[in-house]
Amino acid sequence: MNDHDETELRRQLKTAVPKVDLELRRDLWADVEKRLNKTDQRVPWFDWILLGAAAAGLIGLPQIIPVLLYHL
Amino acid sequence: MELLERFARGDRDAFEALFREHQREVFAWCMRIVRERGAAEDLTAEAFWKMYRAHGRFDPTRSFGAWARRIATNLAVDHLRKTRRETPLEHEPAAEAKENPGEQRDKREQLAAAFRSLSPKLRLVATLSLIEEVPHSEIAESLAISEATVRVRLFRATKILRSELKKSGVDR
Repeated sequence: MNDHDETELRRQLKTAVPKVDLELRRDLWADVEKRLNKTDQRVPWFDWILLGAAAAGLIGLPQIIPVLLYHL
Repeated sequence: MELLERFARGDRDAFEALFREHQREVFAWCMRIVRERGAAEDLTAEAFWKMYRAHGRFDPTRSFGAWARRIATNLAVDHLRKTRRETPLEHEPAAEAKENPGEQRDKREQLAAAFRSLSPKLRLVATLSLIEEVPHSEIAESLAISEATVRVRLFRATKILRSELKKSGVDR
């Protein structure tokens, strides 16, 4: 493709694809903050695994409950 | 420099300051790529959320703007991938279609359809280079690819567009 072809394609594309307004019309901080707060509230998956393992341990070996209570 | 270091350590106030400094630039960049206001706003917010989550990987000796643009570009490409062929381009009436408005409109629609059918990677390079006239070096930096790759993608995009246009009889 030569320069003329590219210039012509560029011209045709600019006609076919609309111009867009690049100006931001509202502050997006609230949107970002909402996402950040949602992330903060989410419990990580490994915390659930730890909780599950602890519960399974307590159910499987109830005799460790007094030992744990003694050490608390 | 201090602001960037604070951000890299996860300081939320520093992040907000950087957000305020760069949100317009990131939005404009997303808008150039996806060409839909709502989507560009969502992508901008998501990009900044990702930046905050990735603060530990940010190198404070490098440019925050370039890093932000790269993250936004990746998200915008994903968006193009998801919405490929779905979203028609809204068109504002242009001043050029005076001679034969029907024929001009057909040509324009065929070209717009050919443009939408490009793969997201090619469409991105074609949009930024041919429509927005962004320098190849800037496109390369935003996509984390070489300028040679930008030229190859542009060549492939123009070739596909030309052949699509020839098929539909637009390119005469």
